[in-house]
Amino acid sequence: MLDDFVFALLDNAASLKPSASTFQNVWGLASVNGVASSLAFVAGISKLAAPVQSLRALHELFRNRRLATTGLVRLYAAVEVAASIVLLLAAVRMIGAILIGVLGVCFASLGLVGAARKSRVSCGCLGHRSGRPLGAANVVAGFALMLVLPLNGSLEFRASSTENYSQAALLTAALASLALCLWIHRRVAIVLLLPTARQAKATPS
Amino acid sequence: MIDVLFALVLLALVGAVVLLFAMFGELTARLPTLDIGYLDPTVTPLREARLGSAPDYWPEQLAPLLDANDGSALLLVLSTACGSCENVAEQLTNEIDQQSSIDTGVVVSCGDRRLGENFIERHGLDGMPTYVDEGGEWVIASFGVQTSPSALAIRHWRLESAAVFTDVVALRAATTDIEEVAA
Repeated sequence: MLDDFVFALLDNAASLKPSASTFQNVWGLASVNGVASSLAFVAGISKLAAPVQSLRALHELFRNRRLATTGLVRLYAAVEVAASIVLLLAAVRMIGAILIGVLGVCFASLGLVGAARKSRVSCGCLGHRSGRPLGAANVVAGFALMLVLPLNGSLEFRASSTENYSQAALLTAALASLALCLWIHRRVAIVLLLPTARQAKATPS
Repeated sequence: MIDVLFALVLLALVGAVVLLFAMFGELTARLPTLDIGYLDPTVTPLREARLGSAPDYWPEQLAPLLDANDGSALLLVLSTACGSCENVAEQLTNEIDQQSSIDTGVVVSCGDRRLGENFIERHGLDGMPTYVDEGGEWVIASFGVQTSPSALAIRHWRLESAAVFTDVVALRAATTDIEEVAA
């Protein structure tokens, strides 16, 4: 893959944009999109598996509980997963960026409503029951996701680099998703691993 | 192309890991409710209740529930001093994601407001309309009910029927049967 980038650089040297190289565009954009995608990917899959906590948070915010149902939460989660994957594929990258931007607007809006109503119920955004209620953190995350659209719109790369983009973005998203998942469930890992570690120390070999 | 397919497969595998962790986390959270034990399915009419009565006022925590359901709701009266009520509250936390509780509110009768608020927080009932009734004064004055756990079926802002129960699923079934007969 590295030699492909080198050849791409040599082949396109004459038509490079003055402000950024093809190499930096592809890797930089793939990294940013991969991280943004991982957030939506993990959030979507987690809510598909465990929508209960998100449902509770929405019921706390909206008195009319018919506005939030398990089906709607799962539908939203499915859109998150779809948007995260579409963003990683070069051919449909801009569609993914638009979807991620819309999701960012939703995150930020719910965060604002949660902050205004002083929500106390864990938001369940990443599926787990412990966590912060809807508030400032969601607003910040939402704005960060909204920036994905203008960033993708402003940067371009050569058609010969599309496959490299997809590969780099998919790999970045996979690694970031794994790291995020392990971070979210770190307490489980600590509880399971720590007694074993303590026991190993206490028992002489 | 092969590299992209490989990366897609890797992402799918990571997705499976995320899914497993999410399911594991949800199962861990539900562990306290899996050991509830035997539930008596009997739903018995509550004779002390003043059927047809309407409260002098509706607490602001419960009024929106009735507004959203045309003056109808199922109010569950629980007490912080009642072991069966702890059991019922655990059943309710499992029910929330099944949308069965869309027209249900909870009245928590307690000696001290803090006990009632702690009860609600402990059982994760803050996603439902809940009212902390200190000393049970509102429920007694409005409906003549001093028993818990009990269920009060409200229709057109008035008490239509009341029952004593311990199994929420059995209560739902009994409520559905009454509605079908009335229809």
